[in-house]
Amino acid sequence: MGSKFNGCITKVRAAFILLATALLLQVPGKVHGQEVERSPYYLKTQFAGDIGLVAVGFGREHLQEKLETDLFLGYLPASVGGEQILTAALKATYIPFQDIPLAMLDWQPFRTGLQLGYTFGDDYFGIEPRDQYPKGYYGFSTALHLYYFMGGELDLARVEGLEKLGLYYEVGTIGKYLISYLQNPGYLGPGKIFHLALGVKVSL
Amino acid sequence: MRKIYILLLFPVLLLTSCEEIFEYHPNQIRLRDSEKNLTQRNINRIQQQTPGDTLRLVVMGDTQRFYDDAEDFVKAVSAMEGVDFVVHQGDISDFGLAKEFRWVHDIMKRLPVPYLTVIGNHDMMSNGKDVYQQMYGDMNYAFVYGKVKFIFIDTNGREYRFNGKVPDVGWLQRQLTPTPEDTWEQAVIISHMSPFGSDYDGKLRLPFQQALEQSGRVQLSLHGHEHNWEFYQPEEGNVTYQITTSMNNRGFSYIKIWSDGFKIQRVHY
Repeated sequence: MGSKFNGCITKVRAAFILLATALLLQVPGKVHGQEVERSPYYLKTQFAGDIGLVAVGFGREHLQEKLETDLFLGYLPASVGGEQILTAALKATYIPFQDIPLAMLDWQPFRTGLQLGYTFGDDYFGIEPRDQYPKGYYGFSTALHLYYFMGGELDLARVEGLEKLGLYYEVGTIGKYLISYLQNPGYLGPGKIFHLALGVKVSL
Repeated sequence: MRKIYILLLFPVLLLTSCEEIFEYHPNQIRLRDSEKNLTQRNINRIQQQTPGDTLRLVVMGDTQRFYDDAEDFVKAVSAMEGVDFVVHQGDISDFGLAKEFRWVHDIMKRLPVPYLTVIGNHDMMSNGKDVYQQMYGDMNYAFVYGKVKFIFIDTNGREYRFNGKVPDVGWLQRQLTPTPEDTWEQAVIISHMSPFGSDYDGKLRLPFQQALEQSGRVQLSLHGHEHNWEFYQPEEGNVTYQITTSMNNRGFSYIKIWSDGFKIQRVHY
């Protein structure tokens, strides 16, 4: 790792800023009528959630706002995580119910979905290196973590000036913990394997 | 519509029983102080005990993803009397994740006696080697208790792509060479992989066995990894190789060692 790894982060960071800027430039400058015009595109910043201390992502809504698909880049500094870890993730969120208006807020009571994270670095393999292991020796990937989550979101829909802002919360666990729990219902429990993640969403 | 509100309760219920609210990454290494440097701490505890002429060990291993069985193991050993310490033969974790190591320690710390570990191949997945070193300590180490030297050595050759350096036979030979002030009369070898499996570096099979034989002080070499009981007593030699089964097979070895002999009992719980 070291400088090579840092160089990698700098490049990815630069690419991400470029991409975010390109997306921001597409935001309409004027708002027409009373309804705030919302683009299906948005940016997210997330705290925790098994892809880093902080992750930034962009994505879009599909199917009349019932589905969101995001691409995240997460960073965990060594000072917090014991090791510096860089992660990319694809996340899909299903929103089965309509928003519930609560005063100036819109509440999405239930969101659920899956996230596939990829951890960068020499310590991790996507698929087992065949020059090192016989076929199916371990039978799992150390770089890929499938994460299942459920939660909700509060949109500041009628808060003046913050109409495009949403705050989401979720509890999630990775597949490797879930299978451990299913096989060890005595020692393990949901409280041992689920963790909280928090995020901010800004519609573009 | 009311039903929807109930959905909010799922995350809330999960969180109320949470031990740690946030997890930043599955490969994070965030340990409590009580989870660090466990090898040295447990050696210190062992050396405060008074060894008898006969030492009594419980040898187990391969706890990987078998937490409920490991809890039952701890209960079984807690009912035994006179055990000096417990040896974990490696594969503490399945995926090399810090959380798995911490779960296993959380179970093993309830043992009434100290426990020591040796690193297994699964413990080297991802950044597991770093987790092991922070939690337990060195991958090769030795200590003397009574008149026995216990030598723990990393033999996971395949994880090093059979580079001819693991196990470190030179280090092993030095450990087996007594100095004038040494008080130990025999040595017991403990490693995850035995020299007989296909995951052991074949180039080092004979050098390893020769190091044990030529020292003239080893009667017992203890291993795990196979998830099965095995017993080797090569004809030309004095060393017995004992492989202990895994946690999910609900077995462990109860071993008594004295100056010129030993007895191995296979226990099922």
